[in-house]
Amino acid sequence: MRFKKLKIFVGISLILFVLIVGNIITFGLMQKYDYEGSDESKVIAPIYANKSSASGSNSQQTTTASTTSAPNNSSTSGNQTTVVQSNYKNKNLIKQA
Amino acid sequence: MKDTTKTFLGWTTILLISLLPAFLWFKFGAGAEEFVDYGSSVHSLGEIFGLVGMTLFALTFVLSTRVKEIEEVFGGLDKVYIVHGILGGVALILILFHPIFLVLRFIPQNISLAANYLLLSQHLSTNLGIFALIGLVILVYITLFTKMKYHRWKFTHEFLGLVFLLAVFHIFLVRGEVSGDNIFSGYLIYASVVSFIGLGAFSYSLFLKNRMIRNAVYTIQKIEKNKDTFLIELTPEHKPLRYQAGQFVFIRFYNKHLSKEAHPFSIASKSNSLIMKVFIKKLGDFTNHLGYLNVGDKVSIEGPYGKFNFKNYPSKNQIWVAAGIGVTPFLGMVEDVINDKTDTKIDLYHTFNDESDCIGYNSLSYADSHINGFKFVPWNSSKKGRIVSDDIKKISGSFKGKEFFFCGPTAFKESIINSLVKEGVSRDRIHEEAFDFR
Repeated sequence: MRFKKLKIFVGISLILFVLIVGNIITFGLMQKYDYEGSDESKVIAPIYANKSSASGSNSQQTTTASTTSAPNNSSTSGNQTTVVQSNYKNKNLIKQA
Repeated sequence: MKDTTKTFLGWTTILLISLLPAFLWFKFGAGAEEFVDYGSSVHSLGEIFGLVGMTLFALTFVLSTRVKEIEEVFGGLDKVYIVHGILGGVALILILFHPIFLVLRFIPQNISLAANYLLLSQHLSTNLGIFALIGLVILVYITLFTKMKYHRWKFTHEFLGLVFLLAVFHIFLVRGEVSGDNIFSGYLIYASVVSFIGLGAFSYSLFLKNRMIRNAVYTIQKIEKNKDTFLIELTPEHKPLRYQAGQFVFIRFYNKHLSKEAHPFSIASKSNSLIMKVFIKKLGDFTNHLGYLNVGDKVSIEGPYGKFNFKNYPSKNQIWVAAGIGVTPFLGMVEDVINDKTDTKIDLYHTFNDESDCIGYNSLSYADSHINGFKFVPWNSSKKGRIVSDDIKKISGSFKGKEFFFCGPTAFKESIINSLVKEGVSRDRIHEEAFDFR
Protein backbone atom coordinates (compact mmCIF):
# COMPACT_ATOMS: atom_id res chain seq x y z
CA MET A 1 0.00 0.00 0.00
CA ARG A 2 1.43 3.34 -1.05
CA PHE A 3 2.15 5.70 1.87
CA LYS A 4 1.37 3.01 4.44
CA LYS A 5 3.58 4.43 7.20
CA LEU A 6 2.50 7.97 6.40
CA LYS A 7 -1.16 7.00 6.71
CA ILE A 8 -0.47 5.42 10.08
CA PHE A 9 1.31 8.52 11.42
CA VAL A 10 -1.28 10.91 10.03
CA GLY A 11 -4.09 8.72 11.34
CA ILE A 12 -2.60 8.64 14.84
CA SER A 13 -2.02 12.41 14.73
CA LEU A 14 -5.60 13.06 13.70
CA ILE A 15 -6.95 10.87 16.47
CA LEU A 16 -4.71 12.55 19.06
CA PHE A 17 -5.69 15.96 17.74
CA VAL A 18 -9.39 15.21 18.03
CA LEU A 19 -8.97 13.75 21.51
CA ILE A 20 -6.80 16.55 22.84
CA VAL A 21 -8.70 19.44 21.29
CA GLY A 22 -12.03 17.83 22.09
CA ASN A 23 -11.09 17.42 25.74
CA ILE A 24 -9.68 20.92 26.04
CA ILE A 25 -12.81 22.46 24.57
CA THR A 26 -15.14 20.23 26.61
CA PHE A 27 -13.44 20.79 29.94
CA GLY A 28 -12.78 24.42 29.14
CA LEU A 29 -16.44 25.10 28.45
CA MET A 30 -17.44 23.09 31.52
CA GLN A 31 -15.07 25.19 33.61
CA LYS A 32 -16.47 28.35 32.07
CA TYR A 33 -20.10 27.38 32.63
CA ASP A 34 -19.35 26.21 36.17
CA TYR A 35 -17.81 29.57 36.90
CA GLU A 36 -20.63 31.53 35.31
CA GLY A 37 -23.04 29.75 37.59
CA SER A 38 -21.14 30.90 40.64
CA ASP A 39 -21.59 34.18 42.60
CA GLU A 40 -18.29 35.67 41.46
CA SER A 41 -19.50 35.93 37.90
CA LYS A 42 -22.13 38.46 38.97
CA VAL A 43 -19.49 41.09 39.81
CA ILE A 44 -19.18 43.53 36.96
CA ALA A 45 -15.73 44.91 36.25
CA PRO A 46 -14.75 47.76 33.99
CA ILE A 47 -13.32 46.52 30.73
CA TYR A 48 -10.67 48.54 28.94
CA ALA A 49 -9.87 48.45 25.27
CA ASN A 50 -6.56 46.66 24.93
CA LYS A 51 -5.77 46.62 21.29
CA SER A 52 -2.01 47.00 20.68
CA SER A 53 0.50 45.63 18.26
CA ALA A 54 4.01 44.41 19.02
CA SER A 55 6.48 46.70 17.29
CA GLY A 56 9.62 45.68 19.14
CA SER A 57 10.79 43.36 21.79
CA ASN A 58 10.84 46.13 24.38
CA SER A 59 7.47 47.67 23.62
CA GLN A 60 5.07 48.21 26.46
CA GLN A 61 1.83 46.30 26.14
CA THR A 62 -1.43 47.13 27.84
CA THR A 63 -3.66 44.42 29.16
CA THR A 64 -7.26 44.13 29.99
CA ALA A 65 -8.02 43.63 33.62
CA SER A 66 -10.82 41.39 34.70
CA THR A 67 -12.11 39.99 37.90
CA THR A 68 -13.39 36.86 36.21
CA SER A 69 -10.05 35.08 36.17
CA ALA A 70 -6.67 35.50 37.71
CA PRO A 71 -3.83 36.51 35.46
CA ASN A 72 -1.31 33.87 34.67
CA ASN A 73 2.22 35.05 35.20
CA SER A 74 5.40 33.40 34.26
CA SER A 75 8.80 35.01 33.95
CA THR A 76 11.60 34.07 31.66
CA SER A 77 14.99 35.74 31.84
CA GLY A 78 13.65 38.99 33.15
CA ASN A 79 10.71 39.25 30.76
CA GLN A 80 7.31 39.35 32.33
CA THR A 81 4.75 37.31 30.54
CA THR A 82 1.24 38.25 31.44
CA VAL A 83 -1.79 36.46 30.18
CA VAL A 84 -5.11 37.92 31.07
CA GLN A 85 -8.57 36.89 30.12
CA SER A 86 -10.83 39.92 29.94
CA ASN A 87 -14.03 37.97 29.52
CA TYR A 88 -14.87 34.67 27.94
CA LYS A 89 -15.38 36.23 24.53
CA ASN A 90 -12.20 38.27 24.45
CA LYS A 91 -9.04 36.32 23.89
CA ASN A 92 -5.91 38.31 24.42
CA LEU A 93 -2.60 36.69 24.87
CA ILE A 94 -0.13 39.46 25.20
CA LYS A 95 3.46 39.29 26.16
CA GLN A 96 4.74 42.19 28.24
CA ALA A 97 8.40 42.89 28.24
CA MET B 1 25.84 11.29 -10.21
CA LYS B 2 23.98 8.24 -8.95
CA ASP B 3 20.21 8.40 -8.62
CA THR B 4 20.35 7.68 -4.90
CA THR B 5 22.85 10.51 -4.40
CA LYS B 6 20.64 12.97 -6.28
CA THR B 7 17.62 11.86 -4.25
CA PHE B 8 19.60 12.24 -1.03
CA LEU B 9 20.63 15.77 -2.02
CA GLY B 10 17.02 16.56 -2.90
CA TRP B 11 15.78 15.44 0.50
CA THR B 12 18.61 17.32 2.23
CA THR B 13 17.64 20.49 0.42
CA ILE B 14 14.01 20.06 1.47
CA LEU B 15 15.06 19.48 5.07
CA LEU B 16 17.27 22.57 5.14
CA ILE B 17 14.60 24.80 3.61
CA SER B 18 11.90 23.53 5.94
CA LEU B 19 14.08 23.97 9.04
CA LEU B 20 15.23 27.44 7.98
CA PRO B 21 12.38 29.26 9.80
CA ALA B 22 13.23 27.32 12.97
CA PHE B 23 16.81 28.49 12.60
CA LEU B 24 15.63 32.06 12.07
CA TRP B 25 13.43 31.76 15.16
CA PHE B 26 16.42 30.68 17.25
CA LYS B 27 18.83 33.20 15.76
CA PHE B 28 16.66 36.31 15.45
CA GLY B 29 13.82 35.56 17.83
CA ALA B 30 13.53 34.66 21.46
CA GLY B 31 15.71 31.62 20.89
CA ALA B 32 16.93 29.21 23.49
CA GLU B 33 15.96 31.66 26.24
CA GLU B 34 12.38 30.55 25.77
CA PHE B 35 13.10 26.99 26.78
CA VAL B 36 13.48 27.64 30.48
CA ASP B 37 10.11 26.61 31.79
CA TYR B 38 7.19 24.48 30.73
CA GLY B 39 4.90 27.31 29.62
CA SER B 40 7.28 29.17 27.36
CA SER B 41 8.82 25.92 26.06
CA VAL B 42 5.55 24.49 24.79
CA HIS B 43 4.51 27.87 23.40
CA SER B 44 7.81 28.11 21.52
CA LEU B 45 7.39 24.59 20.16
CA GLY B 46 3.95 25.60 18.97
CA GLU B 47 5.41 28.54 17.07
CA ILE B 48 8.17 26.43 15.55
CA PHE B 49 5.73 23.71 14.48
CA GLY B 50 3.64 26.33 12.73
CA LEU B 51 6.63 27.86 10.96
CA VAL B 52 8.06 24.55 9.74
CA GLY B 53 4.64 23.17 8.83
CA MET B 54 3.80 26.23 6.74
CA THR B 55 7.12 25.99 4.91
CA LEU B 56 6.54 22.33 4.10
CA PHE B 57 3.04 23.20 2.92
CA ALA B 58 4.51 25.72 0.47
CA LEU B 59 7.08 23.18 -0.75
CA THR B 60 4.34 20.68 -1.63
CA PHE B 61 3.06 23.14 -4.22
CA VAL B 62 6.54 23.54 -5.65
CA LEU B 63 6.84 19.79 -6.08
CA SER B 64 3.53 19.56 -7.91
CA THR B 65 4.62 22.02 -10.63
CA ARG B 66 6.11 19.06 -12.61
CA VAL B 67 9.26 21.05 -13.36
CA LYS B 68 11.82 18.90 -15.19
CA GLU B 69 14.70 19.92 -12.93
CA ILE B 70 12.89 18.66 -9.83
CA GLU B 71 11.98 15.48 -11.69
CA GLU B 72 15.64 14.97 -12.51
CA VAL B 73 16.63 15.28 -8.83
CA PHE B 74 14.17 12.66 -7.60
CA GLY B 75 14.47 10.27 -10.53
CA GLY B 76 11.10 10.69 -12.17
CA LEU B 77 7.80 12.49 -11.71
CA ASP B 78 6.29 9.44 -10.04
CA LYS B 79 8.96 9.73 -7.33
CA VAL B 80 8.37 13.50 -7.04
CA TYR B 81 4.72 12.85 -6.24
CA ILE B 82 5.73 10.42 -3.52
CA VAL B 83 7.90 13.14 -1.97
CA HIS B 84 4.97 15.56 -2.37
CA GLY B 85 2.70 13.17 -0.50
CA ILE B 86 5.18 12.65 2.33
CA LEU B 87 5.75 16.40 2.75
CA GLY B 88 2.01 17.02 2.75
CA GLY B 89 1.47 14.45 5.50
CA VAL B 90 4.31 15.78 7.64
CA ALA B 91 3.09 19.37 7.15
CA LEU B 92 -0.36 18.33 8.34
CA ILE B 93 1.05 16.64 11.46
CA LEU B 94 3.10 19.71 12.40
CA ILE B 95 0.20 22.07 11.75
CA LEU B 96 -2.14 19.88 13.82
CA PHE B 97 0.11 20.18 16.85
CA HIS B 98 0.85 23.88 16.31
CA PRO B 99 -2.30 25.13 18.15
CA ILE B 100 -2.12 22.33 20.70
CA PHE B 101 1.36 23.27 21.84
CA LEU B 102 0.45 26.95 21.84
CA VAL B 103 -2.33 26.39 24.38
CA LEU B 104 -0.66 23.70 26.47
CA ARG B 105 0.79 26.32 28.79
CA PHE B 106 -2.73 27.15 30.02
CA ILE B 107 -3.38 23.56 31.05
CA PRO B 108 -4.42 22.56 33.62
CA GLN B 109 -4.70 25.83 35.50
CA ASN B 110 -6.80 27.67 32.93
CA ILE B 111 -8.42 25.21 30.56
CA SER B 112 -11.20 27.60 29.67
CA LEU B 113 -8.65 30.04 28.29
CA ALA B 114 -7.07 27.25 26.29
CA ALA B 115 -10.52 26.34 24.97
CA ASN B 116 -11.22 29.93 23.96
CA TYR B 117 -8.02 29.97 21.99
CA LEU B 118 -9.18 26.96 19.99
CA LEU B 119 -12.65 28.28 19.24
CA LEU B 120 -13.81 30.98 16.86
CA SER B 121 -13.60 34.47 18.29
CA GLN B 122 -13.49 38.05 17.18
CA HIS B 123 -9.84 37.62 16.16
CA LEU B 124 -9.76 37.21 12.40
CA SER B 125 -6.22 35.83 12.42
CA THR B 126 -7.02 32.84 14.63
CA ASN B 127 -10.34 32.27 12.89
CA LEU B 128 -8.53 32.08 9.56
CA GLY B 129 -6.05 29.67 11.09
CA ILE B 130 -8.89 27.48 12.33
CA PHE B 131 -10.59 27.45 8.92
CA ALA B 132 -7.29 26.68 7.19
CA LEU B 133 -6.60 23.82 9.59
CA ILE B 134 -10.05 22.32 9.15
CA GLY B 135 -9.71 22.59 5.36
CA LEU B 136 -6.29 20.97 5.43
CA VAL B 137 -7.50 18.09 7.60
CA ILE B 138 -10.49 17.40 5.35
CA LEU B 139 -8.55 17.54 2.09
CA VAL B 140 -5.59 15.45 3.27
CA TYR B 141 -8.01 12.95 4.83
CA ILE B 142 -9.77 12.62 1.48
CA THR B 143 -6.42 12.04 -0.23
CA LEU B 144 -5.03 9.46 2.16
CA PHE B 145 -8.06 7.62 3.49
CA THR B 146 -10.77 7.64 0.83
CA LYS B 147 -11.09 5.99 -2.55
CA MET B 148 -12.77 8.87 -4.27
CA LYS B 149 -13.06 8.81 -8.05
CA TYR B 150 -9.96 10.36 -9.56
CA HIS B 151 -11.52 13.37 -11.23
CA ARG B 152 -13.48 14.23 -8.07
CA TRP B 153 -10.42 13.77 -5.88
CA LYS B 154 -8.36 16.01 -8.16
CA PHE B 155 -11.05 18.68 -8.00
CA THR B 156 -11.09 18.61 -4.18
CA HIS B 157 -7.30 18.55 -4.00
CA GLU B 158 -7.08 21.84 -5.86
CA PHE B 159 -8.84 23.52 -2.94
CA LEU B 160 -5.60 23.19 -1.03
CA GLY B 161 -4.63 26.41 -2.79
CA LEU B 162 -7.49 28.18 -1.06
CA VAL B 163 -6.51 26.57 2.25
CA PHE B 164 -2.97 27.83 1.77
CA LEU B 165 -4.31 31.33 1.05
CA LEU B 166 -6.23 31.28 4.36
CA ALA B 167 -3.05 30.16 6.09
CA VAL B 168 -1.17 33.05 4.45
CA PHE B 169 -3.64 35.57 5.88
CA HIS B 170 -3.31 33.83 9.24
CA ILE B 171 0.48 34.10 9.36
CA PHE B 172 0.42 37.76 8.37
CA LEU B 173 -2.32 38.81 10.77
CA VAL B 174 -1.46 36.70 13.78
CA ARG B 175 1.53 38.68 14.86
CA GLY B 176 -0.24 41.96 15.29
CA GLU B 177 -3.56 40.68 16.47
CA VAL B 178 -2.94 37.83 18.85
CA SER B 179 0.70 37.02 19.31
CA GLY B 180 2.28 39.58 21.55
CA ASP B 181 5.81 38.87 20.44
CA ASN B 182 7.69 39.48 17.23
CA ILE B 183 8.22 35.75 16.67
CA PHE B 184 11.55 36.74 15.14
CA SER B 185 13.06 39.80 13.45
CA GLY B 186 12.43 39.56 9.76
CA TYR B 187 9.32 37.43 10.30
CA LEU B 188 7.37 39.43 7.75
CA ILE B 189 10.06 38.80 5.17
CA TYR B 190 9.87 35.06 5.87
CA ALA B 191 6.06 35.17 5.68
CA SER B 192 6.21 37.04 2.38
CA VAL B 193 8.71 34.64 0.85
CA VAL B 194 6.89 31.47 1.88
CA SER B 195 3.58 32.91 0.72
CA PHE B 196 5.01 33.94 -2.62
CA ILE B 197 6.58 30.54 -3.18
CA GLY B 198 3.47 28.58 -2.24
CA LEU B 199 0.93 30.77 -4.01
CA GLY B 200 3.21 31.24 -7.00
CA ALA B 201 3.74 27.51 -7.45
CA PHE B 202 0.03 26.80 -7.01
CA SER B 203 -0.95 29.48 -9.53
CA TYR B 204 1.58 28.16 -12.01
CA SER B 205 0.28 24.58 -11.71
CA LEU B 206 -3.37 25.46 -11.91
CA PHE B 207 -3.53 28.42 -14.27
CA LEU B 208 -0.28 29.10 -16.08
CA LYS B 209 1.30 25.75 -16.89
CA ASN B 210 -1.25 24.76 -19.52
CA ARG B 211 -0.83 28.14 -21.21
CA MET B 212 2.95 28.14 -21.04
CA ILE B 213 3.56 24.53 -21.99
CA ARG B 214 1.66 23.63 -25.08
CA ASN B 215 0.35 20.09 -24.84
CA ALA B 216 0.75 17.93 -27.91
CA VAL B 217 -2.48 17.10 -29.73
CA TYR B 218 -2.85 13.55 -30.98
CA THR B 219 -5.64 11.66 -32.73
CA ILE B 220 -6.83 8.16 -31.92
CA GLN B 221 -5.89 6.04 -34.89
CA LYS B 222 -6.80 2.60 -33.60
CA ILE B 223 -8.59 1.05 -30.64
CA GLU B 224 -8.25 -2.64 -29.82
CA LYS B 225 -10.18 -4.18 -26.99
CA ASN B 226 -9.15 -7.40 -25.32
CA LYS B 227 -11.34 -8.42 -22.39
CA ASP B 228 -10.92 -5.42 -20.08
CA THR B 229 -7.81 -3.93 -21.63
CA PHE B 230 -7.67 -1.35 -24.40
CA LEU B 231 -4.78 -0.78 -26.76
CA ILE B 232 -4.98 2.75 -28.10
CA GLU B 233 -2.75 3.95 -30.89
CA LEU B 234 -2.26 7.70 -31.27
CA THR B 235 -0.81 9.77 -34.09
CA PRO B 236 0.29 13.40 -33.78
CA GLU B 237 -1.64 16.27 -35.30
CA HIS B 238 1.45 18.43 -35.52
CA LYS B 239 4.97 17.95 -34.20
CA PRO B 240 5.33 14.55 -32.50
CA LEU B 241 6.56 14.32 -28.93
CA ARG B 242 10.08 13.15 -28.25
CA TYR B 243 10.07 10.41 -25.63
CA GLN B 244 11.82 7.32 -24.37
CA ALA B 245 10.09 3.96 -24.15
CA GLY B 246 9.05 3.37 -20.55
CA GLN B 247 8.21 6.99 -19.81
CA PHE B 248 4.67 8.06 -19.03
CA VAL B 249 2.45 10.89 -20.20
CA PHE B 250 -0.70 12.59 -18.96
CA ILE B 251 -3.48 12.13 -21.51
CA ARG B 252 -6.69 14.10 -21.66
CA PHE B 253 -9.36 12.57 -23.90
CA TYR B 254 -11.80 14.86 -25.67
CA ASN B 255 -14.93 12.76 -25.64
CA LYS B 256 -18.20 13.82 -24.05
CA HIS B 257 -18.49 10.53 -22.14
CA LEU B 258 -15.14 10.86 -20.43
CA SER B 259 -14.10 13.37 -17.79
CA LYS B 260 -11.71 16.08 -18.94
CA GLU B 261 -9.11 15.23 -16.31
CA ALA B 262 -5.69 14.21 -17.58
CA HIS B 263 -4.59 10.76 -16.43
CA PRO B 264 -1.09 9.24 -16.42
CA PHE B 265 -0.38 6.29 -18.72
CA SER B 266 2.83 4.46 -19.54
CA ILE B 267 4.01 4.60 -23.14
CA ALA B 268 4.02 1.12 -24.67
CA SER B 269 5.72 1.98 -27.97
CA LYS B 270 9.40 2.23 -28.81
CA SER B 271 11.31 5.45 -28.22
CA ASN B 272 10.21 8.36 -30.43
CA SER B 273 7.82 6.21 -32.42
CA LEU B 274 5.44 8.32 -34.51
CA ILE B 275 2.58 6.10 -33.40
CA MET B 276 2.31 6.27 -29.62
CA LYS B 277 0.73 3.23 -28.01
CA VAL B 278 -0.84 3.01 -24.59
CA PHE B 279 -2.49 0.06 -22.90
CA ILE B 280 -5.26 0.97 -20.51
CA LYS B 281 -6.98 -1.49 -18.21
CA LYS B 282 -10.47 -0.95 -16.84
CA LEU B 283 -9.76 -0.23 -13.21
CA GLY B 284 -12.06 2.56 -12.14
CA ASP B 285 -14.68 5.08 -13.04
CA PHE B 286 -12.69 6.80 -15.79
CA THR B 287 -11.33 3.70 -17.48
CA ASN B 288 -14.74 2.04 -17.37
CA HIS B 289 -15.93 4.62 -19.91
CA LEU B 290 -13.19 3.94 -22.44
CA GLY B 291 -15.65 1.95 -24.51
CA TYR B 292 -17.10 5.28 -25.65
CA LEU B 293 -13.88 6.29 -27.35
CA ASN B 294 -13.89 6.45 -31.13
CA VAL B 295 -11.23 6.43 -33.79
CA GLY B 296 -10.71 10.08 -34.70
CA ASP B 297 -11.19 11.42 -31.16
CA LYS B 298 -8.62 14.00 -30.15
CA VAL B 299 -6.41 13.80 -27.10
CA SER B 300 -3.95 16.23 -25.57
CA ILE B 301 -0.75 14.87 -24.13
CA GLU B 302 1.46 16.43 -21.47
CA GLY B 303 4.91 15.03 -20.92
CA PRO B 304 6.79 12.80 -21.19
CA TYR B 305 7.86 12.17 -17.63
CA GLY B 306 9.82 9.49 -15.80
CA LYS B 307 13.21 7.85 -16.18
CA PHE B 308 12.11 4.27 -16.45
CA ASN B 309 14.24 3.07 -19.36
CA PHE B 310 17.00 0.48 -19.48
CA LYS B 311 19.28 2.78 -21.50
CA ASN B 312 19.51 5.19 -18.55
CA TYR B 313 21.49 2.64 -16.55
CA PRO B 314 24.84 1.13 -17.33
CA SER B 315 24.53 -2.57 -16.56
CA LYS B 316 24.54 -4.91 -19.53
CA ASN B 317 22.79 -7.57 -17.53
CA GLN B 318 19.23 -6.69 -16.53
CA ILE B 319 16.19 -8.31 -14.98
CA TRP B 320 12.78 -6.80 -15.71
CA VAL B 321 9.80 -7.82 -13.59
CA ALA B 322 6.26 -6.82 -14.46
CA ALA B 323 2.92 -7.63 -12.87
CA GLY B 324 -0.28 -7.53 -14.92
CA ILE B 325 -0.79 -4.23 -16.75
CA GLY B 326 2.62 -3.18 -15.37
CA VAL B 327 4.18 -4.81 -18.42
CA THR B 328 3.26 -1.82 -20.62
CA PRO B 329 6.45 0.25 -20.15
CA PHE B 330 8.47 -2.87 -20.91
CA LEU B 331 6.68 -3.46 -24.22
CA GLY B 332 8.12 -0.28 -25.65
CA MET B 333 11.54 -1.09 -24.24
CA VAL B 334 11.45 -4.51 -25.91
CA GLU B 335 10.75 -2.77 -29.22
CA ASP B 336 13.85 -0.65 -28.54
CA VAL B 337 15.84 -3.82 -27.88
CA ILE B 338 14.71 -5.27 -31.22
CA ASN B 339 15.29 -1.99 -33.04
CA ASP B 340 18.67 -1.12 -31.55
CA LYS B 341 20.02 -4.70 -31.61
CA THR B 342 21.37 -3.97 -28.15
CA ASP B 343 23.93 -6.27 -26.56
CA THR B 344 22.29 -5.94 -23.14
CA LYS B 345 21.27 -9.30 -21.71
CA ILE B 346 17.68 -9.02 -20.48
CA ASP B 347 15.37 -11.42 -18.65
CA LEU B 348 11.75 -10.21 -18.60
CA TYR B 349 9.38 -11.80 -16.10
CA HIS B 350 5.72 -11.10 -16.60
CA THR B 351 3.49 -12.32 -13.80
CA PHE B 352 -0.28 -12.47 -14.25
CA ASN B 353 -3.31 -14.28 -12.82
CA ASP B 354 -5.11 -15.06 -16.05
CA GLU B 355 -3.73 -15.94 -19.51
CA SER B 356 -5.81 -13.13 -20.99
CA ASP B 357 -3.90 -10.67 -18.76
CA CYS B 358 -0.65 -11.54 -20.47
CA ILE B 359 -0.56 -8.42 -22.61
CA GLY B 360 1.92 -8.40 -25.47
CA TYR B 361 2.52 -12.16 -25.17
CA ASN B 362 3.07 -12.58 -28.92
CA SER B 363 5.57 -9.75 -29.33
CA LEU B 364 7.46 -10.81 -26.21
CA SER B 365 7.62 -14.44 -27.36
CA TYR B 366 8.84 -13.23 -30.76
CA ALA B 367 11.61 -11.22 -29.09
CA ASP B 368 12.55 -14.26 -26.99
CA SER B 369 12.99 -16.45 -30.06
CA HIS B 370 14.69 -13.87 -32.28
CA ILE B 371 16.83 -11.68 -30.04
CA ASN B 372 20.06 -13.00 -28.66
CA GLY B 373 20.32 -12.32 -24.96
CA PHE B 374 16.57 -11.65 -24.45
CA LYS B 375 14.58 -14.14 -22.38
CA PHE B 376 10.84 -13.88 -21.79
CA VAL B 377 9.47 -15.69 -18.72
CA PRO B 378 5.68 -15.64 -18.49
CA TRP B 379 4.59 -16.47 -14.93
CA ASN B 380 1.01 -17.51 -14.30
CA SER B 381 0.61 -16.84 -10.55
CA SER B 382 -2.64 -18.79 -10.34
CA LYS B 383 -0.73 -21.92 -11.38
CA LYS B 384 2.81 -21.34 -10.15
CA GLY B 385 2.11 -19.17 -7.12
CA ARG B 386 3.43 -15.67 -6.49
CA ILE B 387 6.87 -15.07 -7.96
CA VAL B 388 9.61 -14.49 -5.39
CA SER B 389 13.28 -13.59 -5.62
CA ASP B 390 14.35 -17.25 -5.30
CA ASP B 391 12.38 -18.10 -8.45
CA ILE B 392 14.20 -15.33 -10.30
CA LYS B 393 17.55 -16.53 -9.01
CA LYS B 394 16.88 -20.10 -10.19
CA ILE B 395 16.16 -18.92 -13.73
CA SER B 396 18.45 -15.91 -14.14
CA GLY B 397 21.30 -16.94 -11.90
CA SER B 398 23.26 -14.80 -9.49
CA PHE B 399 22.09 -11.23 -8.88
CA LYS B 400 25.62 -9.89 -8.84
CA GLY B 401 26.15 -6.96 -11.19
CA LYS B 402 22.57 -7.00 -12.47
CA GLU B 403 20.17 -4.08 -12.79
CA PHE B 404 16.54 -4.63 -11.76
CA PHE B 405 13.41 -2.95 -13.12
CA PHE B 406 9.97 -3.35 -11.54
CA CYS B 407 6.53 -2.20 -12.57
CA GLY B 408 3.30 -3.29 -10.93
CA PRO B 409 1.27 -2.95 -7.74
CA THR B 410 3.13 -1.59 -4.73
CA ALA B 411 2.74 -4.65 -2.50
CA PHE B 412 4.06 -6.90 -5.24
CA LYS B 413 7.13 -4.74 -5.83
CA GLU B 414 7.90 -4.12 -2.17
CA SER B 415 8.10 -7.78 -1.24
CA ILE B 416 10.50 -8.69 -4.05
CA ILE B 417 12.58 -5.51 -3.66
CA ASN B 418 12.94 -6.11 0.08
CA SER B 419 14.17 -9.64 -0.51
CA LEU B 420 16.63 -8.43 -3.16
CA VAL B 421 18.03 -5.85 -0.76
CA LYS B 422 18.38 -8.57 1.90
CA GLU B 423 20.36 -10.62 -0.59
CA GLY B 424 22.79 -7.78 -1.04
CA VAL B 425 21.49 -6.05 -4.17
CA SER B 426 22.31 -2.35 -3.90
CA ARG B 427 19.33 0.03 -3.92
CA ASP B 428 21.09 1.93 -6.72
CA ARG B 429 20.54 -1.05 -8.98
CA ILE B 430 16.82 -1.36 -8.33
CA HIS B 431 14.45 0.84 -10.34
CA GLU B 432 10.73 0.94 -10.07
CA GLU B 433 7.91 2.66 -11.80
CA ALA B 434 5.63 4.04 -9.09
CA PHE B 435 2.52 3.16 -11.04
CA ASP B 436 0.18 4.15 -8.26
CA PHE B 437 1.80 7.31 -7.00
CA ARG B 438 -1.40 8.66 -5.58
